[in-house]
Amino acid sequence: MLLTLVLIFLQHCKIGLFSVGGGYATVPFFEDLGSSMGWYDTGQLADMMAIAQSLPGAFGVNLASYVGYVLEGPLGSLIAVIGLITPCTIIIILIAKLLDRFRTSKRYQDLMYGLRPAAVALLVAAGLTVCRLVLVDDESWAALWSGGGFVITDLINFGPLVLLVIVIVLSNIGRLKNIHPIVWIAVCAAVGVIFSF
Amino acid sequence: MRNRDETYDKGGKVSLPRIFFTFVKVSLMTYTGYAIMPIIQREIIDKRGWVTQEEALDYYAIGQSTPGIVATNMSTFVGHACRGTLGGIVATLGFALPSVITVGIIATLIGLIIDIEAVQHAFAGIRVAVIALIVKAVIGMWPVAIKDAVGIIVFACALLLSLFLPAEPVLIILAAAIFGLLYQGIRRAHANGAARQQGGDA
Repeated sequence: MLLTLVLIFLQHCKIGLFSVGGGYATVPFFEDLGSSMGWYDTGQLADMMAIAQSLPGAFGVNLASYVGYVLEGPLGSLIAVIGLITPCTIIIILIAKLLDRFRTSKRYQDLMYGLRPAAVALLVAAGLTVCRLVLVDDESWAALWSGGGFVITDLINFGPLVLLVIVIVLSNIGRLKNIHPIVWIAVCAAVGVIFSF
Repeated sequence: MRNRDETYDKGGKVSLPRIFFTFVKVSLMTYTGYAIMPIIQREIIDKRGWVTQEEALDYYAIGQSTPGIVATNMSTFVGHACRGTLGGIVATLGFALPSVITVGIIATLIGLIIDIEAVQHAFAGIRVAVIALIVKAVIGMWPVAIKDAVGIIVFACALLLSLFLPAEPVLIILAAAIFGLLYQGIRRAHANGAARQQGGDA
């Protein structure tokens, strides 16, 4: 058991080190891990991914936690997560210390001048991806691209679209601006259930 | 230079346990990695003032291009901003540990939960909320990130690249950073050159 735990830790350190960006970058590495160690297959991984996406917290961390759990229960979970976050925590702390020194330098400001708009763009892109998932009906979308027939009103999920517009408007006006994000999440979840999104 | 071992907010000196539990809270409210930004805006910037909008944006940008998940990197950065190295470690743990517990609970209940249709509908609704929250986050970041026409151009190019090419976010960030260095560098050189010329004529 100890050996498995050590393996879990080291393997997750590796994944944590090589996946850059969002949690989804960890998926190919988890695929590799499953097949090379014989711990789980792709089908099982897909199931774990569905759960990991549905839980609060970061997807990558949830997935690592699940993989660890499947292998060695709660302790495996803990070790896997700690393994995953250790390399990047060390790296970030080092970068953060350097950052303090360079923050006022011209070169840093120049760099950030280009970097900041790009970071906002990436966030917008992520939002648009979720948009496509939520607002576009998958069957019609597939039909559109394969040249099959589709009804244009079927292409868009109007329920979510209406909700989205309402929430965007409401969350940015007057006193409603200060409502906690979790409220919007809960309200939208409830609406989703009531209207069977 | 900010003293990394002492950050104060309305409650006094920010303690390690406070950092830990704040990030537990943040973790429980973050339903998708990118949506951590609106939660950070609310809990860290607005409510506690631990970092500024500008700092948070920088952490987000850098966190995208370094190893690790954006969300945990952001936690490390903010934690470090409050209490140095220990703060960084504690914040990251606070963000990541709830997963161990939630996964433990869910893994046992999984068969029961995931198939319930109501749950699927709820998640579809949550995704709508996530989009709206991202919109809010972008509105907050925009004035800090984009200050002139060039900024808008960089934004547009980065957006197009990430949508239409399966371009890696890291490459886009690197390209943007290099652009910033070159563009501002050249602009400054021109300005200096012009100033020198005028000085010469005087």
